[in-house]
Amino acid sequence: MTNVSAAIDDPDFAERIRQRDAEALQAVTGAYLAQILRAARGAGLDPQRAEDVTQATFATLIEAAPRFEGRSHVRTWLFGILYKKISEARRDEHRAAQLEDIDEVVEKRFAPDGKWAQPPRPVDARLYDAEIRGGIEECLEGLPTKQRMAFILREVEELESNEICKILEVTITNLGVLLYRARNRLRECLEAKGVGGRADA
Amino acid sequence: MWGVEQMLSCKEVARIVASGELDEYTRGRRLALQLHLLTCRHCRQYARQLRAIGTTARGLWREESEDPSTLERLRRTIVKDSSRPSEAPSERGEDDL
Repeated sequence: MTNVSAAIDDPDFAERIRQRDAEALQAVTGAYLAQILRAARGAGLDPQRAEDVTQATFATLIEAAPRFEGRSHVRTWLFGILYKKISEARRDEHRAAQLEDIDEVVEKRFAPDGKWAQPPRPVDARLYDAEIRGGIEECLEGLPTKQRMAFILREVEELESNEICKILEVTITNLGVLLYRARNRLRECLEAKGVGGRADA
Repeated sequence: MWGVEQMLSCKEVARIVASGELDEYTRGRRLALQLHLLTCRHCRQYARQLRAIGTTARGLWREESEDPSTLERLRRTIVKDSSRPSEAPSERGEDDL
């Protein structure tokens, strides 16, 4: 694994990709298949669709290989392809439109002076951690694809901001907004579900 | 010492924490944030909840979807594709790049 990722970081590697060098393409597959499949699942696709989209992502990589410029890392490119496939698979404009008011929801939590008007519900830490598990997948369902991908790439895949920006084709400021909305929406959703129980006696 | 910078409102703190902007912050600004979190239990609660949501999501997906047989099956299909030279244009298209 280490020599594979070393090979992938090699400047000559882009050239091998462009040549559709079978060994190079297989190295990429071996290195990122699990991560891509996980991200497809994390983006909200059911197991079958996640597999289909993963396969389609690599198929596109292989097809488009001669055009790989190597300006960004092959992983970034791969995630970018995945993101486009996922957006196609989850055409969810209506969902986005219907939910786009998370900013207002958060806004209402603060008084004009910037202090909490409705503070987050105090919860028992251990109870909270345990109960999020049950609610988080359902709450993620409510997120538009882009927000959800931003969240998954950051929190699950732990990618750097710069790489996520390239994948989603957004500025760093936009990424901040996406994460802000995703995290707040999840938190609000979990709180509405009563996750964490009442810690305040 | 920190001047105006220490005056972060809860709303600003929430925005910084949720957007992850912290990375680009100066030391003075970070210190102001720490100070605020130290003295404000609501913001502390909020930050802790967001952290827990991230950690839980990570754990959830990392333990799932690691099925080796699925991965192996997918890998074989993809490898078959990659070792086939690009003769015929496929029905998949490459419009989305």
